[in-house]
Parts: sequence; structure tokens; C-alpha cells
Amino acid sequence: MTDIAGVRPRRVRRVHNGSVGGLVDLLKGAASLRIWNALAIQEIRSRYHRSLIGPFWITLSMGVTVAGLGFLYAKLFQIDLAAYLPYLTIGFVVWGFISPAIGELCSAFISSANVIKQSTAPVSIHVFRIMSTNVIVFLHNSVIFVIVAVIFSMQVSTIWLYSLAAFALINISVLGIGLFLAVISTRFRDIPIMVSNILILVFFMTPILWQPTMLPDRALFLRANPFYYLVEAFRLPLLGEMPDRDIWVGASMVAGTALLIGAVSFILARRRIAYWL
Amino acid sequence: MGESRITAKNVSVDLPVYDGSTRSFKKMVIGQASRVGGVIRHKGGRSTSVRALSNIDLELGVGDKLAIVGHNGAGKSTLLRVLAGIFEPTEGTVQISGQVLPIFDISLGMDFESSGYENIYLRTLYLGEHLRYSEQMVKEIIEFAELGEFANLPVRTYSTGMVARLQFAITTAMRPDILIMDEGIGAGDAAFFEKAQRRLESMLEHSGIMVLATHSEAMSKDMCNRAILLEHGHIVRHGTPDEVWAEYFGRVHANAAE
Repeated sequence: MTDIAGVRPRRVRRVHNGSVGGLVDLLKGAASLRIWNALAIQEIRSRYHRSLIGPFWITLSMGVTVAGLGFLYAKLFQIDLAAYLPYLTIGFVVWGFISPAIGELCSAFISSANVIKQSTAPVSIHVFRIMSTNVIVFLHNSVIFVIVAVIFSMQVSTIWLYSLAAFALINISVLGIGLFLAVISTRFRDIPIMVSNILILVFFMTPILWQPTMLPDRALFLRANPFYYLVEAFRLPLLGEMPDRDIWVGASMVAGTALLIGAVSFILARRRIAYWL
Repeated sequence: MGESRITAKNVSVDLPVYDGSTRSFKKMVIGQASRVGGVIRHKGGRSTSVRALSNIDLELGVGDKLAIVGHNGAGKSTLLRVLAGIFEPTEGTVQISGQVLPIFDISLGMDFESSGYENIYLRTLYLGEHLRYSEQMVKEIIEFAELGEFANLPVRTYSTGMVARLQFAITTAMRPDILIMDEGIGAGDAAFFEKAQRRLESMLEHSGIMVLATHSEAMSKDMCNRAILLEHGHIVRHGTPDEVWAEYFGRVHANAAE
């Protein structure tokens, strides 16, 4: 029998323990872009297998929701539809990334228990895979914004590029929150259910349907809401307006804090994750 | 391969036992507040745990093919996970040098809606980043598994035998330094058996260290040159497979006589 071309080892793998192991896992996981990206694409494909329009189903359903709510709330708030619908669309699309991503990240390890207990791949790839899946879905949903922008002939501007920076901050925040929640959800199985309920409340507390200017001077619960800064930093540039300094500082602080808490909790707890599953 | 080594020193593993109540956050908070009794608690009021392995010392180097023998629940699977680096021991240390391939379930990561080609790619991803995937390897796997035209069709359209052959072919295409297996790996139909056997042997030859947990006397004597007998998480005998199996049967008979 001819020997198989097979797979030759690239380099010697050393298993690290404790917190060092946690850090190595996180860094290796982040660097395994090829793996988690491929797994994310695979997941999207299998989610919509044999469906005609595939992931555009989410786009379609979000589009219908935005259109329906847009007409209703524009009337309720007595705002011009041309001003309100783009506002609502951007908020919805970005919340449509944040909320499901955080929700799915809670079960990042629980849903991959089978793989984690049988493979030597970094545990953190499951977190990055879910991030990646949600970014792909977000890109599909961005189509709604493009349609709205065309309908209301919105002015394309270089300010729009600031939304990319805001999207990066949103990703860092979601990653941090997700790492933290994934760890504690694995240990305490009530957390995912709790989080999904909280997310609904946060949706109503965050200016997505309503506008911050509708509140008499910016209330404390608005300024205390980390998602306010993230959503505003993303939405304002697309509406042609530069967010003020407070928003950028707030969004950066949210991202930094979330990443710190998430990374530390993952690094400390990684060695127990396989046992908790 | 030259650098493959596993050193376990004084390794103990406590497996936490969670049921709905200890896992729940609410119970923990309320339990802290009102000190509700009735839960068996070890380790200063924290969760209940079972000692799965205690004080394991093991040193494996290139050329060692170790069989782990013991009853169900003796700690074989836990020890495999520790030696693969999946479980970090509660006490003691494990050092692993070399690329590890654990094989516990050869259907890991199989997606029945994807084609045979896609599954090869997918499984290599799951098996670990260090085990690279090459075009040549894919061709070889398809050929070995005798998939022919089916390679492009979803796996759900395959016969049971085809699925088994594909899983076997993918798994045995790997060339890790350290191979860790729970029971042997089989490949379905009899016609395939001899060919599969040869391929498995070729894989074993290439790995520096092999650890096999097994209930089969014949398999461990065939494939291994060292063996340990586990009982309640302790190594009670360490020697050649012949010695260890003799000891195992001796203990089984002694228990039966009581």
C-alpha cells in the first residue's frame, strides 16, 4: 500500500496549564481565523440548507418588520417617515447583530460540548465562530439599509466610514460580553435564559424605536446604558452626522471594559470549562 | 515524532457532579443566604464531586503503545482526556509534547447535509489546527473510502457502509505524534476489513506514542507493548499487556468468588 501523503505535523504542540493555558487558548483561538471562519460559513449553509433564498430569509423578515414598525411609529411619534425610517432601519440592523450574537454566545461552549470534550483545538474558537456567523448575517441584513438609502436617496458621505470604526467597537464589546457570558453560562445554566429576557428589556430601553432627543435632557438610564453609546456611534455617521466626543469616549470605554472582563474571566476559567460541560 | 512525550506526575482528577440544582444560579444564591440543608457537599460547601483519578504517575515516550484496562467507571476515559490535554488535572501536572489526536468518536463533526468532500475538510478543522489538510490527502481519502461519484453528493445519501468507510478513511489519514483512542476504530463491512487493518497499522507506525483504552484483550495484546490496570481511579498494575490482563482476570475471579 502506498503511504498516504497524510498530514505532517507543523510544529510541536505543548499543552499549557492554568491561566497561561487560558491565554494561549484565547490567542490561538483568535489566530485560527481559517478554522472559525470555515465553521461559520458551514453553519450558515447548514442552517439554510435547501432553502431557496437561504440567509436572506432573515433579511426579508427584518425588512418587513422595519417597514411595518416604521409606518406605525412614524405616525405615533408624528415624525416624517423619510427621517424616521432610515433611523429605525440602522438601529434595527445593528441591534439585529448585537442581540442574537450575545444570546448565542451564552451557549457557545454548551452547544459545542461534544467537540470540546473530544478535540484539542482551542476552546475559544467556538466563541469566534459564533461572532463570525453573526457578522455574516449582519452583512446580509445591511442590504435593507442599502434599499432604504436608495428609496430615500440618502446622501453618500465619507462620514459613513466612521460607522466602520463603531462597528469594530461593537464587535469588541460583543466579544467581551460573550466570553464572559459563555463562561458563566456553562457553569450556571440559568444564565442563557436570564440573558434572553434581559435583552428584550434592553431593546426597549435603548434608543432604537425611539430617539434620544425625545427624552427631556438625556436621562441617567440612557447615559448608563452601554448599548446607547454603541448604537449611537454606529447610527449617527450613517445619518450623516458626526457623533460627539461623549459618544466615542463612551463606546470605547464600553468596548475596553467588556473585553477586559471577558478575557480575564475566560483566561481564569478555561481549565474548568471541559469539566462543567 | 522524536520529541513526543507525556509525563503525568501525581495526577488526580475530581469530576464535579452537577444536577439541575447545583448548577442553577438561583439555588446557589438562595443556598448561600438560607443555608438549606440536604445537599451532599464536599470541599467546604461547594459542589459535590467524584474522584475519578487519584495519584496517577505515568511517563510515556516514543515507541510506547499503552493499553488502559479496567472496568467501566474505573477512570479510563477520564485518563484519556487528561493525557490528551482536554481535562486539566485537579491536582498534579501533565506535560505533553507533540501533536495529539484524540479519537473518541469517529463521527465527530460529520455533517450529513454536506458532501463527502466538504466533510473531509470539516473534519480536519475539528480535529485540530495542527493537522493540515491537503488536496492530495483528500483524493487519497475519497479513493480509499471507495466513494467514487458519491463524493460530490450529500452524505445523507450514502449507505451506512459508505459513511463508516469515509469516517474511517478521514480519521486514519491523520499523522499525529500522539494517538489517543477509546476502543479501537472499526470500518464496517468485512470486505473492507483487511484493507482497513493495514491502513490502521500504517497510522500506528507513524505515531510516536499510542494510548488505547480497551475492553478487548486481543486488541491490547496485538497493538500495545505496555499496559496499566485501573481500578477506582488508581493504577493497580503496570506491566506488559500479558501481565496486566492476567492480573485483571485474577481480580475478576476473586470478586466473583466472594
